[in-house]
Amino acid sequence: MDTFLSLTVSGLATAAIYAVAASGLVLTYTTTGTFNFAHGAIGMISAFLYWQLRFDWGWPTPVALVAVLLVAGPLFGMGLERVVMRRLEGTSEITRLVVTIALLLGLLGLSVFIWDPGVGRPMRNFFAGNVVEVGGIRIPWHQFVALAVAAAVAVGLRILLYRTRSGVAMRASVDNRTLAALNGARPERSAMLAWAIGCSLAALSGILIAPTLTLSAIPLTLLIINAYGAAVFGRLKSLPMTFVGALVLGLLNDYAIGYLTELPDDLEPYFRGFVAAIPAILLFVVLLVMPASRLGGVTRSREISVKPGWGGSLGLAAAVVIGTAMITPLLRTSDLVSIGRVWGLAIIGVSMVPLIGLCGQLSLCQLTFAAWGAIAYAHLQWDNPLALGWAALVAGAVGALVALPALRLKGIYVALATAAFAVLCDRWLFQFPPFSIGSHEFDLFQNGTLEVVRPRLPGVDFSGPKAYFLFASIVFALALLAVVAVRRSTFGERLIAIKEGPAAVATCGIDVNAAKVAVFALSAAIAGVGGAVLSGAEPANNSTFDFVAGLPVLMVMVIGGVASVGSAIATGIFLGSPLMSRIFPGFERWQNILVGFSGVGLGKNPNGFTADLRRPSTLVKRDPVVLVGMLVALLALWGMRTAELFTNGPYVVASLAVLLAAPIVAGRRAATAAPVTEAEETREAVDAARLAGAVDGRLSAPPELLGLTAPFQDTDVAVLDEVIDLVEIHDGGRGDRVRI
Amino acid sequence: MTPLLELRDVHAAYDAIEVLHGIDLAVDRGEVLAVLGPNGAGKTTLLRVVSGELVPTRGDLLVGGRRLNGAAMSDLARAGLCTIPEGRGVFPNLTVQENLWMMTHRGLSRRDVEEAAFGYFPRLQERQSQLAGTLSGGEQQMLAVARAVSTRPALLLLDELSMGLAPIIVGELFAAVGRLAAEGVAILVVEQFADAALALADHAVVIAQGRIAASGTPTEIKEALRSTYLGADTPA
Amino acid sequence: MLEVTGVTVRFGGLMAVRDVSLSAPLGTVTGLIGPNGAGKTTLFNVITGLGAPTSGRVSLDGVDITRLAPHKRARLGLSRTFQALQLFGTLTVAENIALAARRKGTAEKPHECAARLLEFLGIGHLADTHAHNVPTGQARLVELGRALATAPKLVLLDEPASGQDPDETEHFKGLLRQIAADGVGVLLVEHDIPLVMGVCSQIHVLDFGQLIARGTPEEIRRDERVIAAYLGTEEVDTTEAAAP
Repeated sequence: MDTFLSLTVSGLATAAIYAVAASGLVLTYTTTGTFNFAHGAIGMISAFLYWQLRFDWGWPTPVALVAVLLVAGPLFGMGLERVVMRRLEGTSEITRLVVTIALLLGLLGLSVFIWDPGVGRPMRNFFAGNVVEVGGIRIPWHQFVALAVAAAVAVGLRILLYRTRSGVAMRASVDNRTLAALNGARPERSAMLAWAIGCSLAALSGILIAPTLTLSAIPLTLLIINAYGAAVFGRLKSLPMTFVGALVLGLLNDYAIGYLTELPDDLEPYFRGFVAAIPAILLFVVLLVMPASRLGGVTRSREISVKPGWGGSLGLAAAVVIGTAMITPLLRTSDLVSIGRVWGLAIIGVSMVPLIGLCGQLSLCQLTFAAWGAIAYAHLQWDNPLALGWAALVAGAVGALVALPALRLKGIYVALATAAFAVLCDRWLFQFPPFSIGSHEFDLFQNGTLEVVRPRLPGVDFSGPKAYFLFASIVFALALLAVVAVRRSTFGERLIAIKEGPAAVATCGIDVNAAKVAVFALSAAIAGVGGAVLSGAEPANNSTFDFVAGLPVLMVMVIGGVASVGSAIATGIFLGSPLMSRIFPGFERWQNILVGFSGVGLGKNPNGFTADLRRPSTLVKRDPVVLVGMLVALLALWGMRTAELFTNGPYVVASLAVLLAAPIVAGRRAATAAPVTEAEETREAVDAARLAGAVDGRLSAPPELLGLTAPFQDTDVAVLDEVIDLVEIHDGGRGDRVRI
Repeated sequence: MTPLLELRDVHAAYDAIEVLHGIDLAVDRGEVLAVLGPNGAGKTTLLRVVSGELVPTRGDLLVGGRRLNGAAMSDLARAGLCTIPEGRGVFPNLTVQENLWMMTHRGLSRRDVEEAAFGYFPRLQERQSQLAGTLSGGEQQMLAVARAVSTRPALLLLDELSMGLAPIIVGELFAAVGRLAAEGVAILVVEQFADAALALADHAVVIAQGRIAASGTPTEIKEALRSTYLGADTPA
Repeated sequence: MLEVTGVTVRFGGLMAVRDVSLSAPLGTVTGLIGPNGAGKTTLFNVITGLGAPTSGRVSLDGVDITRLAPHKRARLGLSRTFQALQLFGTLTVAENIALAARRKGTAEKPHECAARLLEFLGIGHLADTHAHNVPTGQARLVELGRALATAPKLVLLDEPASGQDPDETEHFKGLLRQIAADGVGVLLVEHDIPLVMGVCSQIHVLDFGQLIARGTPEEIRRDERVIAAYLGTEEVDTTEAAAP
């Protein structure tokens, strides 16, 4: 009984912290419509900041608390609203979610950059050592602190939202933003206030929870993700229900900690990770049980994916394999250790194209699918390349399984459910000790690292490091072509249709659910192959595939353009090779910061950078002289490197220079040759639009005579921009112009 | 004398689609202008331009002779422009009192607003702590109109005030609007259902396909309307 | 024939559609008109399966489809267009239409179907244009083409003429007559009353979610309740209403 009581009290204290975190999340979401995935990361970095001020610099506790909670937190929130979030007005909920994921990554990178994770940072509880005895159980003071803080937050939010005009204006702008402005309220100010309070509450929860763990970045970031479970309990809307959710979660958590240790010895190991997975399980369950209609949300986006041609795609695939074949002999075995992950990561990247890029389902568990593929591959122990098919099959089945609950979810809820699945696998299933079903014994991660048999064909042995690197590039090239084939097929068109016309697609006779299950399975299967290839390249354990490790892959894909296969190559090279750190020493420490904050800047160009790369590559493709010249130069450099005229460093730099110079030269030539090329560029669009009557009558002259018979007008530029889809839109009617 | 509100050759568009193709109109102090026309003609767009929600792509919006293209909605509201938008212009998840509280952004006190609102519509007082979303349609519209009567705007914009309401309530609402007009508030009434608006108006225009199709006294306009709505031959 | 029997839709306390029954025979154009907010789009959603009725029944050619998923209704021969355009912007116009083309029970390949419909609609030149580049007036035609590609028995058109200029509307009128002449039923929601009066053989009038009148264009034009619904709630002088 005493155990029960003291578990109840500590459970309540845990619940209090979750409640503080979740209420901040709900406040920003309801007021601004942005689900802040970085909420936990903000709490994490605030906890670090507090440690710095209080324990490292020895500031008095109240001063440090004020500095973090009332100065740094709110300022960060306001800055975030002003600089980032306000510009995202009018973008899809998903785009905004991706931006906050990027922020999470950036903050994570920043904290590792500032506070070396190798150093221990003890953080004491508030009033550490003080204990009260109530009815025979001992309650530490800090548990009271947590409870008191949660109560104060509840009362404070209540007063703010119901008793102050600013608070009423915040609730009013949730109901109807335009109407609030028509009343003379300033919705931007409400949003800023919501972000300020949200960040402050995140900071508060971070500081409260940090002492119960060691102060380290990833667990803290993820621990507050637990609060999402509580927030979803309140349907991301109701603060009282959010507190109830936090209560359920906190109590379950502490009872589980208390009672699972009492399980029989043969059972206990299977539940070791269970406690950590409770919030994820709860999140998953709540998402399943909630009435679907409440989870609605329009997911229309302005992302556009261009249909890749076979010629270019085959060329790209060939370039990947031939390029790899040419470079491999130049590499030392030690280089291969650091570069080996390139193609595995690239395959996982390309797996996101159909699911996220085409179909618009933001999956955050692609690396988890990869893990299942790797596990299946390792357990088969078959040295035939066909073993990859087995990896695809198992991962695909897992993908289909995840798709079933995801069918009834939309928008950010798909992201939350897949994140919950990833965390569930990381913390629980992948921690399983060996078990057997029937006579067959399973050992998921073989107590550490997966032992993979590298493939072998009659006459060809891929088991050496260089041969395996080439093998991986071939698998990637095939995966790339498979995805291109999907994009060009009717199935691919259906996926795009689901994203772009969710209501219309069913009335065209298309079974949306079947298509969604299929694309989840397909994407998971490709990711599974990627996981298998990755586990063959380097020793893989469960942290290779964990949730946080998946975020940079997603972000680089999104930054590059998640609907285009080309960005998968960028993902592989950027994240899997030492290229960047060779060029910029110390790059590893910058990587997440750079990826994160580039992602934050993404709102303006949701199509990613590869959309901007299309023009240079077209220029080169259209100019045979430059194309041949570029290839000859690359070949010459390779020849010189093979003849050992210089080392890898200069070789890489010179090759990059050639690749960069080619489009510039092609552009120059095109500009001087004739305006014909320019006309060709826009010909397709202008033709179509002219026929469509979009241009006629609105230009000062027919397109072909523009600027010849009469001076070029501003309106002409506007019309042409619009026709070639550079539509100018007004941002919130306030005169700021946004280009899409 | 400069009119209180003037639109000069106003064009407006949603993305690339132009909806208003050059609207000219003017409203003087104390004048009621009815803007009529079939659905999709551009009436609501016109109001959105005046209220600052939509920036005209061409032409000028002048209030009291000052060009105000691109001014923020909240600034226009604080300067004395009151818009009762189409549908129910209330916050459904706020109580009646909180809704009234939202009307104090022009520097009024809560008490002034409540006194004025309850003076016009005593029924609202009985329901002051009820959520606005649970009020009947008519009561909700009263609450919306309460903003106009309690904040004493210089210019009032009404969009489809009568939509979905019983005739008796429409009468009550228009009576309140009439009293405001008598006090010198300039009013722009957009209505699909013409009769109530015409009864109040000093002047009326008909908008069709983004242009002003007819302009005249209420009696003249009444004749023109029947053909626009029901597709009979245009009367000579 | 499409039959809607006693359909009621409630959103919380609001009754958006109240006990509506109507029928739309194949081979003719049936109109559904009414002021804004009368419940027309809600009724369309119920018929095509995008919204569920609180009570009532929908059947197509005698088959009860009230509980059927939207894509199954489409396969049975019910398709629609949307008031807020729902084209697949990244795909070309031809791809938009081919995607909806019926695959079973026809020898025609999807791209052939798209080509045939584009020619029928008179927008063959737009085939390879990306749908997001197509101006509204013609986008309405593309949506019509996509709806026709499913080889429907009946198409529901939700304000197909909005965003079209007078010439386009005239062209559209001709298309509607031809579609009906081919034996396809059309249920048309439209605010352009001359268009409705010009092509419909029967018109239903919805007001406050209730059916207040039905009849031929001539009957509707004279119906007092309809005039009241459109012109306001005051009493209407009947002699005036009878005038052309």
